[in-house]
Amino acid sequence: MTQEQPRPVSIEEVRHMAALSRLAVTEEEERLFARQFGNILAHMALLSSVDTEGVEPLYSPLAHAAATRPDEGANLRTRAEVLANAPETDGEYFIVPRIV
Amino acid sequence: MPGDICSLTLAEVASALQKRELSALEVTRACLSRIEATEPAIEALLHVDAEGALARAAELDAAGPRPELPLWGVPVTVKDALSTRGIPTTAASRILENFVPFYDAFVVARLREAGAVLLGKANMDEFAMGSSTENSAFKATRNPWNTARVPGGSSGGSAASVAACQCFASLGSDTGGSIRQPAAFCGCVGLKPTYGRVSRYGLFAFASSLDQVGPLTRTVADCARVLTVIAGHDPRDTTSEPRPDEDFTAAVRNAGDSLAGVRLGVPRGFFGEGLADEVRAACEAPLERARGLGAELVDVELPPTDIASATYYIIAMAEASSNLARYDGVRYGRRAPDVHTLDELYVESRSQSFGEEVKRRIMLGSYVLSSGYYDAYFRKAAQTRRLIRDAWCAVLEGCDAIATPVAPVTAWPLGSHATDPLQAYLMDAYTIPVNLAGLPGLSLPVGLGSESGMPVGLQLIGKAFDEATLLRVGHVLEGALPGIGAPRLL
Repeated sequence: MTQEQPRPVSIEEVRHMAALSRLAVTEEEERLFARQFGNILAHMALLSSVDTEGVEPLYSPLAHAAATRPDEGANLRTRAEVLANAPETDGEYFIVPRIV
Repeated sequence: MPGDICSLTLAEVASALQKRELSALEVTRACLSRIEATEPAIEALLHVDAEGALARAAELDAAGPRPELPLWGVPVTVKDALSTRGIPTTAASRILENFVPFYDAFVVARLREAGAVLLGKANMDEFAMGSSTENSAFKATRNPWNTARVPGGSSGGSAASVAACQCFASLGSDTGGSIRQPAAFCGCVGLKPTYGRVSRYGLFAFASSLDQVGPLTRTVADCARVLTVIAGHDPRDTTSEPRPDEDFTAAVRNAGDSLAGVRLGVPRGFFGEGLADEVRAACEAPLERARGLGAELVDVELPPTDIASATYYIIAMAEASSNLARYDGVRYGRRAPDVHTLDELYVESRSQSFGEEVKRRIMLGSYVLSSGYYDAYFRKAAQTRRLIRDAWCAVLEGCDAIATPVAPVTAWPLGSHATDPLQAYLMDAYTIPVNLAGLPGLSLPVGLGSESGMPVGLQLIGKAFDEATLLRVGHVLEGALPGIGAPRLL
């Protein structure tokens, strides 16, 4: 199988992809990613050569149906445990910058 | 020489511990000295919990050995993607630099319940994204066989730690080859169990439909013992298969020394273009040996590896972009300083903390899931995934296992793929179809490359939930092959 011709990815597209990902990229990263993404997407485009007409997508190789459990509340963790790794907390809640 | 205790196999040390020929404290001290002696050269570990390990060993000694605990007093390490209560767990990422979990992963709890002593956390590629352990945010691990070369990845710290005899077993995780490839590069045994065999509870998620936890050890029998401990149903992971616990050590104990009646599928396409001559030669020799032991080798045809690779990277990146959305600087992990809005908090915390490879995969993952591209990339990949899975399962209807190389090359020099991520992605071609299909895969050390002098692994792939056959065939082959020796690290 031959590789598809790399389609260049523009700086604008890289910025769009970063925005979708809640990431900011430097100008240097923009240039690097534009080149690399072109090559990687060309590799992924190999799939266009595969006939998948009528094929049901497979999202998990799981043999059994995902199990359900009774919807019962349980206190498995203490507040102190859950807040222990918080970057900012008042001891009761996670603190974030003011929203409203 | 500090290797005396440390270079025993897990089965040997466990037996000596049960008979009280060795104490848990003696064995733990030997491993900690070995770690101290070897870490400057290989840097396999991100965190060593010497105090916790010694306390635990003393506690075990005071209580005395219990024959029903298969890992009683046995020191182990685990990949830093596995949650360990009270012990820092970073997934080798800056964003989790100071993260200390309040719970154990299912597999870590199982190790502890089986009597193991946890020595520390093994280095890895950040969030398991990579195949050389060079993508760790903290340090690059080096291969014990040649410290100028990579240990493979992403479970490179686990493999190096086992190969350097710092511990008797380690746990890794495998999304596209991340147990099997470092095992091959470092000359260890590595097993990726069937998807659903081992609970992923407490494994930091990379690609949830592909991730699976498994053992890295120095022998197949040791691998069977650790798998027996970690496999089992866990209601906290909905993908964990509800089936009774299985004793995999029986498969090895009853293996005998013949492979009569075993049909091994050999996909010639995996032995063609792109495969290094030294790897081909090292993999063909054990296949001939298998034939000599009575196995029947059959030519089989599987879908092209480049199609599987394209399918894999679309799915893995898409799932990663979703899984890593949780790292937002709010509830845990690193938060960027001096931010004024919530959006700025998300963007700056993530941008300042994720490494380049992680950013690359999140961005491509967001892209293939985004409006206008979803059908062409993500849905298409899910369709080819079904074709690949069906093709592999059909071939396995006609044979007991499939044999391929683990990787097309042996461990490469550090820094060789630094500028071209696609070249590095293509190195996973032989291992990723196994994750796409959810099948078990065993990496068995079978020789040293004639040019590089580095270990070569043969991959044995089995039917879903038939790890027992892989372990049996692997054990018989291991006994029949000359062995590759140990790295001369000290």
